[in-house]
Amino acid sequence: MNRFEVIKPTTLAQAKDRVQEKAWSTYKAGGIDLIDHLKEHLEAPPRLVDLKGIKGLADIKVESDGALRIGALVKLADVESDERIRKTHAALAIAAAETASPQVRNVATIGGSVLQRPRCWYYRLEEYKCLKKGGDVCYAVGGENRYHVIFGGGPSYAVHPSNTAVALVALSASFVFDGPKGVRTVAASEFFQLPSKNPLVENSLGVAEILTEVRIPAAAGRSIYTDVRERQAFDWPLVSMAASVRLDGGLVKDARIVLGAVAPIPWRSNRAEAALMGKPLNEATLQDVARAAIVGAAPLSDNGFKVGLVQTLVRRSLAQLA
Amino acid sequence: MAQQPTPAPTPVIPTVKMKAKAGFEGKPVEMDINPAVGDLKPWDLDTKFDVMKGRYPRIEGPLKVTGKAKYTYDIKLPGMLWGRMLGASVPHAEVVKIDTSKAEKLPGVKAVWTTESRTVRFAGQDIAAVAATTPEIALDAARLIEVTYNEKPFITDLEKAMEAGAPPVYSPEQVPGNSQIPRNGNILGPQTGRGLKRGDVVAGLSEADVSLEGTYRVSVHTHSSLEPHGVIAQWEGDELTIYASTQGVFTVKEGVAEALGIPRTKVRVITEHMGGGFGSKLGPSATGSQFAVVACRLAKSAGAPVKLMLDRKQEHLCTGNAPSALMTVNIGAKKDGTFTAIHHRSFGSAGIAPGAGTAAPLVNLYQTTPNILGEDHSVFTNAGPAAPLRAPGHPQGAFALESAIDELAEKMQIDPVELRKKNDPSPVRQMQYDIGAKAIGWERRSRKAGDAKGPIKRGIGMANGEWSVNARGSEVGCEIRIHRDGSVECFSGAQDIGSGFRTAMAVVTAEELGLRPKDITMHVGDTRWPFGPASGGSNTTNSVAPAVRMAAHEAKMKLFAAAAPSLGAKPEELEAHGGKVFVAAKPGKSLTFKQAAAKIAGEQVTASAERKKQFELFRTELAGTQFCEVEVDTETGEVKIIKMVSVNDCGIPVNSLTTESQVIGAMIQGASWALFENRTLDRSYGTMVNPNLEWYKILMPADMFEAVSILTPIANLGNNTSTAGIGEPCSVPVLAAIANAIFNATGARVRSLPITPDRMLAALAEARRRA
Repeated sequence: MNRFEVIKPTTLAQAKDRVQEKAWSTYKAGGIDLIDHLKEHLEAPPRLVDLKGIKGLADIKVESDGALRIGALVKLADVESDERIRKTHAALAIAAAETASPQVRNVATIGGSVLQRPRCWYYRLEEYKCLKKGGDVCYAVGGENRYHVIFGGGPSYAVHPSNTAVALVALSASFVFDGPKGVRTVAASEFFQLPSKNPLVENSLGVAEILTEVRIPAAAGRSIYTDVRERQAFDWPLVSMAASVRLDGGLVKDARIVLGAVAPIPWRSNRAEAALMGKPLNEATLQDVARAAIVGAAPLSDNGFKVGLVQTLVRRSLAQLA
Repeated sequence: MAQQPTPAPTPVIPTVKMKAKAGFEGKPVEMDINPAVGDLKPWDLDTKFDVMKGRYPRIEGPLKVTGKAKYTYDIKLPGMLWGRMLGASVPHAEVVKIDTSKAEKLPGVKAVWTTESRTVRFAGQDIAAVAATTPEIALDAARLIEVTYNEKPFITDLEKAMEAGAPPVYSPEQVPGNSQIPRNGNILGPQTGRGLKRGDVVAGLSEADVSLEGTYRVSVHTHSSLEPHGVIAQWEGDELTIYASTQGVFTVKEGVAEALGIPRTKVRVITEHMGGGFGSKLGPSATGSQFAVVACRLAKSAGAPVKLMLDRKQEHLCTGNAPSALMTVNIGAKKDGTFTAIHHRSFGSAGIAPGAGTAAPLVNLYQTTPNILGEDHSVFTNAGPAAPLRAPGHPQGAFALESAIDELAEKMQIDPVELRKKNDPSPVRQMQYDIGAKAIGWERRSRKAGDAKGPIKRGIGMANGEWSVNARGSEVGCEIRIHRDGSVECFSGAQDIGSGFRTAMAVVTAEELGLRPKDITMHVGDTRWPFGPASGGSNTTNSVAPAVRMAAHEAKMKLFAAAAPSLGAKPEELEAHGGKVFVAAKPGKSLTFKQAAAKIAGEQVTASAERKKQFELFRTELAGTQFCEVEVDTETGEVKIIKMVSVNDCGIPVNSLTTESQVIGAMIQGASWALFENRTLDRSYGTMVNPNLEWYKILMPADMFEAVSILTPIANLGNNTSTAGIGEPCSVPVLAAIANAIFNATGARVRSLPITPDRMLAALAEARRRA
């Protein structure tokens, strides 16, 4: 493992300065994903700038209109157990609760959960110099791809790993960044990027930018997060889904349907949303929505089963919001 | 079992004739037995126990739960260096060059080792190793070693390795294994082991009114012990001390002495606490690595102790695994359910090693079937060699056999328990069926598989387990010391691999001396103490317990001799029970054990004993049966195990608490194998893509179920304690019981393990197509 120094700034300004002083320096929040990268020699930063000493990044605030402001350093365990979030933005609380293990959730932050890199086994093994590491090949193609994408693939086929990101896109959240060029706010649905744009990254995070806050508007209706996995403990989903639906007079007025673990980004299904709008949440509608959700699916050699799971999850999750 | 020394010629042993009561409560059988002269009358059905069969938390429990127990991984010696093994990065190659110059120049590196072998046959095979002043430097140094390979075509997939023209793992003259066994490309076999051929299966199948053929697949399972393999090697002059995470301290001693060419008397091996082995830690090092020998060489060359522990990735690659299997079972029966023939044909890959057979359960199960044939084939692949894993080959074989019987029961519309009862000559299992069925609630089972309403369905299934009573008949020793202050020590060199062996031997000592287990100070896991077997084959307890009992008995006789004058009796008139030594005919005339010990003339009495030959057994096989209830989400393919009930013969249990714990462990390990575990090698590059515990998934608490272990004590009379092993038999039926419960829940038969949601959904789709 490479030798590195750890710097503990107390302000965002200091943090940005210290990370820019030395090339390849990186920020550290909970450190879960970072340590994995260091141990497998996927990164060798000479300096870690620890964000945990910066005040004001670990609070959960509820605005008067019910909107949420969640500091990027809030731990997943706190997101999971916050009664306000559970009540108004259930999809996020459930997504956090379904992540990893209690031990991890007590260290991992919401910011880290959103920004974590893929868990693709080729990406995570040093010996495979894959596209995401500047290589020429995505080894999932013609390789062991049962856990890879069915939507949005190419040239890289790793799925986005974050449960919370799926919920945040469904809840119309936005992310606040503080970087060398100042503060900017980006909608979660715009933040994540397909590998066709650049396989080296999964989002538009700028150099030396710090994710400082997650903002979620007041809930418009009810939301849910569900997933299917091989193991109930500490496992990544085979397929996950978050949905936010507002009903009026028994008909769907607003809907967001986002699929996880099926694409390189949280996969918002516009077709499924369209199939749902203006309809009652009944069995016939759900069948249509489920069919719409899989239009365009392009499974790899070993992950065709995900297509059926998407349909099941869409149907079942939305039924719970009826 | 691998790495067992060649047995010495069997001497003629003088015996005595006696009668004892064998079997189980309600069905006693008087048996003639012939113990060796000097052995004790076995504990039998009539024995009234003070201590045996009770429930005792393990002696070292408090140390373990407070983190004070020092495992090999925890040991640090003054001046100790850290070793690091570098494994091959490619699956098949000739090594052209190993350049260690950069590693040697790294400050802190004290010794370097390189392999003499030029042929790499699996990714992860030993290439080089270093010892350095910190683990970080050792890792950096290992990464600086540059290896040049001349890569060769390789094969890692079982079924592709069987094809004509597949890249050969070995050239014909290098193929390992018995040269009498036919070989064809990468295939070694068929091999029909002992007890696997009876009658004529072709004729037997043709006589059947109903027959069934099923093909079943099991993926490779790695042991995944929580404590990895490793040693600390320390030289003091020419004396070598090895702290090892091993299942066989004496095996390490013998193997390392031989490899280094030094006398066994110069080597001492210590294993105080062990973090799991399951069969992978039976050899001096591991089946796919020589790390222990390398650590000793590094320590010698550096002039300092060297600690060399493997990491999680190396554990998966080079320390053994349970072979994959592709099995076809043909079974025939008469209209009344009586089996006419069973043919088990198996192909499996133990990687570069032979020994992938799975037909063995046929030896013990359904012994009245007139025609049986088990044909095993080992298929070589460029993958790490297998190692015994908790009943080697048996869980895979039982998955095929017991699934096929379940399928036959379905085809014949006979209750699966009734079909087995009809064909099972074991009086023990005949009793166990009803106990297990009652505990799981067999009557709640859907008569028609998959009949339950709604997408989430429950089902109940069962399968049979088996094993043989294995024991080391001689050599195994024990020493007991009773001190003048009444304290007692028991010495056995055998190691406690986590099964509770240490506590069990305290129970045996206490039973014989009339004390409580907590009164006995145990010393185990050190080759300086009397010889004990490697913990494989479920033989530790019943190999060592008889020697412990004999030594305790002899020490007791010496104590009686010292105490007898004070009690006005002859030594042979005394007994020891409940912490007292007393005259058998006049229990009022007594001394406390402590008072009796105070009569010892010197400071202590010492008695040593060596185990004598095995007696005649009530049953040579160990019977068990497994019941299981599952819940299947038929829309997502998720399987949840609700409850498992394992009913087992383990002879007379020594410590029921830890015995049940072993059985529960087997259910957990089996459930994990059935549902999750799957070593995955990249099809194009031949290296493992899930060499971790993230993607190599093992069962964790959220997937835990209600696990019930029911022991059915059997006085087997096989030795003077009537004990038998339990580690392996209970792991045999778990895979099949789960698959059978899933069938009952869904009407879908999953014939490939692990039963992941995609396979479950595919089986459900197949069942719908057929319906």
